[in-house]
Amino acid sequence: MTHEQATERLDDFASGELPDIERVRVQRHVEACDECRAEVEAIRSLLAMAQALPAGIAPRRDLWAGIAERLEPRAAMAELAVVEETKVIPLVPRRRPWQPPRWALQAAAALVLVASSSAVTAVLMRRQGPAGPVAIGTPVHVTGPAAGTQTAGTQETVAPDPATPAVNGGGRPAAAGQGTAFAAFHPAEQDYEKAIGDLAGVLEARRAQMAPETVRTLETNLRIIDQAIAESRAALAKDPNSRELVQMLGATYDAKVKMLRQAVEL
Amino acid sequence: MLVEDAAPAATDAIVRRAQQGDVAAFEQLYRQHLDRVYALCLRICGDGTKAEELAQDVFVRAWQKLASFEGKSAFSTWLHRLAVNVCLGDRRAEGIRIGRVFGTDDLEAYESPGRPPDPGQAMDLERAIATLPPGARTVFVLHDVEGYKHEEIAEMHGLAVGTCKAQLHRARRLLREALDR
Repeated sequence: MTHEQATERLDDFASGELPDIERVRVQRHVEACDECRAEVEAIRSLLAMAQALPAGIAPRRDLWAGIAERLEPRAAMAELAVVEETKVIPLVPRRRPWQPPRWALQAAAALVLVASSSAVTAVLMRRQGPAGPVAIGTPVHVTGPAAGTQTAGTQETVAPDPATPAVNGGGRPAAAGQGTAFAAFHPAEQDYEKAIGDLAGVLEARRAQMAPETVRTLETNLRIIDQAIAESRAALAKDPNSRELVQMLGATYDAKVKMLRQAVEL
Repeated sequence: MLVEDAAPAATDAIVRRAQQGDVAAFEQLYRQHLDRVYALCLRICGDGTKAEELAQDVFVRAWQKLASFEGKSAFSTWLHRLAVNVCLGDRRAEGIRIGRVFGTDDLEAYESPGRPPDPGQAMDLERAIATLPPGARTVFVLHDVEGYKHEEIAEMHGLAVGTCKAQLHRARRLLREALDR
């Protein structure tokens, strides 16, 4: 073994981390080389000092009070654990009241709204559908905290004006008829609602820890996304077989879940 | 070089109570392990105030994750690994900040209120560790002080083993230079 080869291995050699064959070869070199021997002795001396450091150091103040006030009741933790198991929300601890990247959330919300509105308009213009009122058929039983309220057994008629969203969160009309793309999306929509409800629940539990400005920003952005969802649904009510609109609605739900997850993670 | 719990059976009982939501039991765990956790945080971040914040995070995180502790390892080992993850996560979150490139001036943080200032060798080494660049300091603390293997550190850090070894070599060289002054 050359001096250079041995030099590269001295750290591992001194720590006892070389495989046997290499260790023997380095050992032979070290015995014959004053420089390497001195290097190994110096490393081992440093190692001995490091390992002699006290295992513990007492902080200058008791930290318990600051910890205790952040401990959530075990029941709440169990709920969070269930949510975690669904792999919807990778929870991370937060150290201080959340200071969100406002620009990022606002930009995301605005992007969703612009993209959604533009796409809805484009689809509607391409299709040039009937302008009369559209009856919204099969009632949907909407559950979950994000939905806010439950509506069942109602029959609604909405005007075709996209500027007047027929739905927003709760009190939602259902897809028109069975067998449409909109109706086929219904199970996925329920999954989204469930995820959104879970995330909203976690956020609600953390609301007190958030800065008021943060809460305001988040609520504003959620309203924007909800508006985009409502516009997509209103468009789908008029054209329930539009796969593009269904995809757009799904993408908007994705954006809402993503934003809520971001808020929970930060 | 992980220290096992002094009385495993007693600790197990306390852990079980804490897992069931007993905050008083969790406080006992906190009191048993605080110094060790704080020392790790302090040595990795090199700043007393920051280390207090990190240590608090570790225990809050431990409370959140306690249900997932199955007793396959000693509680101290589990908690220690959690503490390492919290410290490394914090470092990743902070990124490489110019102001933290070279350690800290907060050397009094190493002088615990419970023990007299030690003018000896150990304190010299603590001070020298605190002046290391963060990456080298973390690897040195985890490898040479806490006894983790390069492979473990590399995995926790998301680094190549070779990078980890290079950081350790750098740390040892800088420490020896500092101690020789």
